[in-house]
Amino acid sequence: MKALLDITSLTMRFRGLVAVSNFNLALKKNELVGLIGPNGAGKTTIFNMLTGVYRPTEGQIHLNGHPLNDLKPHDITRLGMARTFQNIRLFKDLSVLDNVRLGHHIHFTYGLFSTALQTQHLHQEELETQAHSLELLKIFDLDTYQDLKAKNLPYGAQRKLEILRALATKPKILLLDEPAAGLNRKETEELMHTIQKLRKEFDLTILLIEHDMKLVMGICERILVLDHGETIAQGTPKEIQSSPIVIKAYLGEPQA
Amino acid sequence: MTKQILTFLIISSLLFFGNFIVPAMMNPYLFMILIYCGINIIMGVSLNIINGITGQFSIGHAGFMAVGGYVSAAISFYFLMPLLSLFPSDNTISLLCQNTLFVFSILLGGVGAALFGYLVGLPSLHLRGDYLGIVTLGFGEIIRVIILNLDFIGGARGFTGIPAWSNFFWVYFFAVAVVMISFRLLRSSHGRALLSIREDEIAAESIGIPITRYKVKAFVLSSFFAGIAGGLFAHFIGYLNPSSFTFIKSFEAIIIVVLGGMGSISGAIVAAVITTILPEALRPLQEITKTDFRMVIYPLLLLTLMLTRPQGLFGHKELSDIISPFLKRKKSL
Amino acid sequence: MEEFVQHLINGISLGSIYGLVALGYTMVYGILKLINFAHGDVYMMSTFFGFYFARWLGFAYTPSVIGALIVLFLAMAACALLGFTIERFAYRPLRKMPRLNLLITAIGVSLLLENGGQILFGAEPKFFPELIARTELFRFGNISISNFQVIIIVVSLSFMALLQYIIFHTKQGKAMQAVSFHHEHASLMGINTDRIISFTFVLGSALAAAAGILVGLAYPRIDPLMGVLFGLKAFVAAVLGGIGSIPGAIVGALIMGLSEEMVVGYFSSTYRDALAFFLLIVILLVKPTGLFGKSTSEKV
Repeated sequence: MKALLDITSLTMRFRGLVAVSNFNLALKKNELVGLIGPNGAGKTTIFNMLTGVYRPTEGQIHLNGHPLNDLKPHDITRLGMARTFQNIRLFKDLSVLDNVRLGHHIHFTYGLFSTALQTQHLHQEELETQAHSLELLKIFDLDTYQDLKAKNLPYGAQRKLEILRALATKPKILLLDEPAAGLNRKETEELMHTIQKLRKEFDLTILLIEHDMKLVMGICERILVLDHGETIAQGTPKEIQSSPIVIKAYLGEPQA
Repeated sequence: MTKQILTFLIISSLLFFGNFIVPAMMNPYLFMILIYCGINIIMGVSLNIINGITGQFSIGHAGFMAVGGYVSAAISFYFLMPLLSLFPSDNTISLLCQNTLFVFSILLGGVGAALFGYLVGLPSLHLRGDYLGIVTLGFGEIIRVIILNLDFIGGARGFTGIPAWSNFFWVYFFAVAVVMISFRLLRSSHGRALLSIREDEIAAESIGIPITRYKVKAFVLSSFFAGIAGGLFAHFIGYLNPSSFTFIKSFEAIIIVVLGGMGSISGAIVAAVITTILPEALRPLQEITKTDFRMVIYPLLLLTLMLTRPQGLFGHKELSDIISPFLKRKKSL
Repeated sequence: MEEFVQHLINGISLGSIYGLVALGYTMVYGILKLINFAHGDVYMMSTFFGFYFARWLGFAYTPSVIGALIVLFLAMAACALLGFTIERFAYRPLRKMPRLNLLITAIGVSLLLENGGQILFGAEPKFFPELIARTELFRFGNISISNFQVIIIVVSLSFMALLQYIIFHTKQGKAMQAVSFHHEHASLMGINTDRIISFTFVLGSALAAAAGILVGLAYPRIDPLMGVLFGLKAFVAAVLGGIGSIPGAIVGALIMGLSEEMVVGYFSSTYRDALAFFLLIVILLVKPTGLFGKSTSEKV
């Protein structure tokens, strides 16, 4: 089966510093793949290249055959790839509902004229979007907080909200950057279930960066290990767990 | 749709009657202040779109007001007035024509200003905050210097003979229109998109919002409105001079936005009224002391505001957000 | 050819003064990312400080080099204090606020100084006392070099060299560099960022003051609004060189001074002020970070 996201020889050089070197991945539809490695290994840099924040020094990225290398982040999102951020980037002063509604923005079709005249078209789309956003919020039980400012949510809820915002863009591929950071064990388990549920319900393909080994080993079908920008291992969770290279470079005792 | 048409008719009628009643109720000086309030509301609300809602640093707003004023004045003076003189004056039809042509002139002034907004905005809106500020400041000054050197619109001597077609009706008609459009924009997805750019550009781009395109659109809309304000101003005084559009004018607009609260439309309206009335209220002090303390008090007030309540009067909120908790409390009683 | 050399000398002289003021803009921007609108007015204030000091100490009536030096140092001290006060009471409380607020405050301080100055000193121009008589020091054919030009270049170069030494060879200076790279990290290293920032303002203001006195001596007509245009040109010079870069400020200022002199000499003096705006737009559209500037990128 042809890959949904085809990444070949992806390399990022920052004036002499090689952040990522020769990264390859053929992500198939509905796969759940994990990207792990010590801090500074280059994982977020890969995400940044995939989403157009950085322009790769070398290599090609293709989404459904579309080349992504020269595209701007907003164009890549419209093609169906959404992400969350390592350091949460919510619209802090906007409400929880508005954050999710903004995720829907690319699906709006009304323009400035309709806005000035408050047409039926606008009302229709706004109502639909509001309903759809509330549905999304319900997934994480955030619908009761819809009017709260995003910055006033507890940390774990903020992470979840960011995922919902990305989901609102109706992506084909979801890139999650450390979704479990700051979550306790129970929350992490919930997150594991939710990610799998989301994958099924929204027909998603997911690539995630994580440090929490329980989550990674628990839900990822395939794992890539990065160290100093290089891919040092690839395989199923079992293979990675028993790989001496990986254990040497990164994997210590699994988290208690 | 009918609700909207009804609202439009009611407001228009109110303004129409107001046009006759209001000037009769007050002396020309107070009336002038009232007109300036309306014009400053447009300036403040328009600047709020780009500075407050979109979070960009535009500090040359007076330049767009100048373009609008001069374009509109030139069109009225060179084309419309000669056109109207062909018709017999002092009857309803010619009055109707005059007003229609006036709207035409004002809108064209706005379009001229919008065009400049596009020319200035397109190359510079991808620059980082303070750099954008410098560019807008520079362009504001350059526009003024260019006007100074154009003789057919008066140059340094000023443009005289602009027909006095502005009145209470038109100034407040446009003010209401600008305010309504701004509120509708703010409540729409496009308005939310602008807010998201203010909050976090990188995150906004990551959810598919083309940030530079939106910034330019906000800039153009904002300039369009400022141009309208300029046209209304020109046709009220009947005279334009580049010295009315210096950095001080841009600064006044900035004060309105900051005092009202960045992003708050109601705040901008209230602040516009305050900043129009305040210097006039201080005028007696000027008479007594024979010195213009206003330009010292203004910055002092601004500094005090910055140090004590930098979020301005309304912060990010609108009047409705502040009033609604009171209404809710009443209901529960 | 001789005319060209004359313009060259005039340009370098003018550029040196711009440099002294441009340095203040660039240092404050480097350390706070703030465009200190009030800086040009600090320069203006120094001319008035000099004017009054010269009167009160009697130097206005009996010109002497010693008198000039004393007035210079007094004005520099007064402006250093002024700069310190502005930073301490107007800018420091707002440091955590969004940058537009800080920018507006800077504009407010600038307007306060300008209009306050007009009220305090009167709006009509005054004449800076002739503390040193203008004489021609050198002459090569048609090229004339006055003592003022020599003084300006020598004084400016000395102060710039002094600044260079302070920044690159003293602990304070290294701390300044650290703070300009990253506020929080610098304070984590035990650097008292507040003190360093105050120090930066003090240095910048003192340099601007020196420029003011030099200008007062060479072009005696002073008024409370003279800082507006001059400050703008010095600012454009700093942007041209790359705002935040110290060598950039000096190079930018020299370019500014030379081009202004050339425009006046070879075209017409009516375009002298428009040149600054023109240069500003060109830089910002072509290379906004300036000649020596570096663009910092945000971590995503």
